[in-house]
Amino acid sequence: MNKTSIRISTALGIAAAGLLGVSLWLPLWHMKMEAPQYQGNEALRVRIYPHAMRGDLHEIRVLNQYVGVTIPDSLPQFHWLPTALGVAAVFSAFAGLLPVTVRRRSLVGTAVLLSLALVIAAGQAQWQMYDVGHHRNPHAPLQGVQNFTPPILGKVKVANFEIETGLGAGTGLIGAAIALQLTTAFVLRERSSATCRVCGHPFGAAHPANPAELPA
Amino acid sequence: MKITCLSALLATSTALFTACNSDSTATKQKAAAQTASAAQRVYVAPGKLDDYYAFLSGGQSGGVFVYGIPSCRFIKEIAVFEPRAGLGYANNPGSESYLRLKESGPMWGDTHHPVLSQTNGRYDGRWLWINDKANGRVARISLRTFETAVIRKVPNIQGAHGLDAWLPSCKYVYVNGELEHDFVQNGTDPQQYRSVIAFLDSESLETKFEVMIVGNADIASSGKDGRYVFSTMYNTENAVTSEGMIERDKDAVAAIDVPLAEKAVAEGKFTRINGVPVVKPDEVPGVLTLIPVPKNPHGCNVTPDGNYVMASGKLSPTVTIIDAHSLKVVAEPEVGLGPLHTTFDNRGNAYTSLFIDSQIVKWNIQKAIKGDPTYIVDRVDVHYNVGHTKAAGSDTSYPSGDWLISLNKLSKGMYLPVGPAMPESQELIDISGEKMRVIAAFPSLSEPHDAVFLSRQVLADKVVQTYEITPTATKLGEEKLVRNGTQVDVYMTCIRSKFVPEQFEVHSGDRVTIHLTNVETVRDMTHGFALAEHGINIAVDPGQTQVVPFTAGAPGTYWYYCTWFCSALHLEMRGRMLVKPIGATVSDSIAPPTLEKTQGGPKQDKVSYE
Repeated sequence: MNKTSIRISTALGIAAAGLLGVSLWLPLWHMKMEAPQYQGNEALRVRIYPHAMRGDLHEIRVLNQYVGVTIPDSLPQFHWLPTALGVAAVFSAFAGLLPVTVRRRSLVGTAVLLSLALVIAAGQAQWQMYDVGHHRNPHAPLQGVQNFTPPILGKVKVANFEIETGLGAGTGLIGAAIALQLTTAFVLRERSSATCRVCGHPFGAAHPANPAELPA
Repeated sequence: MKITCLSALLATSTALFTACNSDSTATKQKAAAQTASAAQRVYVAPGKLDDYYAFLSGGQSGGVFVYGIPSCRFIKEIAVFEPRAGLGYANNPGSESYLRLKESGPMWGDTHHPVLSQTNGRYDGRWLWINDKANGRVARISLRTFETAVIRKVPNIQGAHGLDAWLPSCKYVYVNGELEHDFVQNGTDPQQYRSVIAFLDSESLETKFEVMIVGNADIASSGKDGRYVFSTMYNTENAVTSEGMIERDKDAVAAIDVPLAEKAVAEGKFTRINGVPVVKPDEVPGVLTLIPVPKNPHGCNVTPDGNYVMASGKLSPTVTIIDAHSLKVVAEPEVGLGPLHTTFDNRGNAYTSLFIDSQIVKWNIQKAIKGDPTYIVDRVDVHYNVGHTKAAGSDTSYPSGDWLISLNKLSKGMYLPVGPAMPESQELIDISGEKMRVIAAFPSLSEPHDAVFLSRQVLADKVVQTYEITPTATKLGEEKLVRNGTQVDVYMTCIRSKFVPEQFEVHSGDRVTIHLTNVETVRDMTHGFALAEHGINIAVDPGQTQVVPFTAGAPGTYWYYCTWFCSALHLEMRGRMLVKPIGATVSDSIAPPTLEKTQGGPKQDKVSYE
């Protein structure tokens, strides 16, 4: 294993950690609601961050009273997702301190766990959206609005609103971090199975890092 | 022979008839094409925005009308000097807008000249000033909210007619006293009658100083270089009868040297009259210059380059062109009968309204000055008896030369007859080409005297969408009732579709003050608050707090309800003021009654459709 590869893998790990760190402050997901009287820059928007929900919640709550929809003040994801991302970031940053083989496996593991966290969060979100669209206040004044489930990605029409949802920059960064971690793991795997170009000796624990130190 | 003659005659007449007929068809087609192209110029599709705001003074309606140009669509009335119950403006005794108007004078005004603020020779979109001729007042309207911000009485003035801002700084707005009177002794001897030209701080509208004149000052226009302001004077005779006012062959344009007047005030060369420093021209030579013009002039307009002042002749068919720096008359071109006001494009042309001829005449300024007989460019008929006319940006240094409005005094048969009185009428004229074209006519309430255009670009992103919540506003969830003897303050909020509280209790005769905050956060979500049988109606825009005091009536239940249709539950958006007899127990609680109680009363029997 040469020093350059090790440096690269360390740098990639730190970069992945950086992306994860930044993703804590960026929206993971967003929703845009457009109606004839809420067009263009007056469209209502919601942004979901790892730790909070922001946007035109006040106005949406005002409108929701007519159709009996209750938006929760907080989501369970807000309690564990920032921690998951933070731990993954710390792990990614300090993975460089681990022995190469362990490092590779732990990076793959982190990537898998991160992906799993995203899938769980999204699954939870999908349930929450089903929940708000189906468990509505039966005393709501406006009749004729069908139960609904906004998709995680895509469009749906609810009453007079076109609702469009999509992923935010934060999810993009987490995706990029996962990609970086897997790339690092791949680079390490390649390097660890390669042979020394100088002596043909396979790289391994017994081989000195500097080929010049090898016996002729 | 006879037959030949007859057939020849027949052939000729047929040919003539055919020619005439085809000619009239061509004319009709041309007219239809012109109508179609004119219609296209003013057609602004639903949802599309106009290029300009046009602010028209409301005259005896006491406010300002806002139209969109070129569509000529009416957008808003800005209430200023007259209560507007529908808007909740100054109609509730004790409310802020009521007290402010009441303090400044009568609850009616006669608005004449809307003036826009400028920076560096361009409109800056901060303010619009408007005068009340009848009661000597000036108001400032904020263009962030399109609401009246300040109203001030101007001391020593009767008939506050001409209004303009001192350019280029807009440090002052100045207003002309048209109706002479004795404001020193408050006597009735015409010998003591004087007028003043008053200079007001443009923001606070406090009168800083005045210049006294013998006779009157009528229409106003400021020079562009921070020195002179100009006013026409039609009664230099200082007469009190119309015959007396037209006695002299010449009247004047007054030029006030503003820096000199400021210096005189700073040096103490003034007489304080009713609290205001008044500079007398005989004590401060040079502060007032009278430039002779044909008798009884009317309009006074400085050219965009600031080089000339145009005094329109009214009784004389001429416009007097005065050098705005040397104050010398340089030319007096004849333009038509009854010239009243002159306005300008960006190509060196002037447009003068001709009251008697019912025309707008376009003429070239330099040609007129040089004595070139071809200075008249075009004339167009307007309907009828045009007073003011104004081209877009004409009173800035950069007119746009596209649109001109003609404010006509009579509309006669222009619109469906609606009784002996017909609406006032305005015409929109395209002045972008060599020839003027009347494109559209639109009616209004009485009676716009003057207008000013403002490009919507100037106000882009400046008009607020909601009011900033003030520190004293009631917050959602913090509504309360505070009782102090017979004074009851109800701190109320409203948001779709609820007033909180939905009920409160008072004693008959209590002095009740509603402090209503609209806690909506999106624009256009205005709520009203009307209180049945009490004559109370207010309008509260998003973020705004309105305060309205009143006396509770006889014991009973009085509903209050939202007057601005807001939502699907607009009609249900209401609450009760429960008035108890004096001495009865009242609760300070504002909590709604329990569910059982609301359902406890008798109900309409179940509706069945059999």
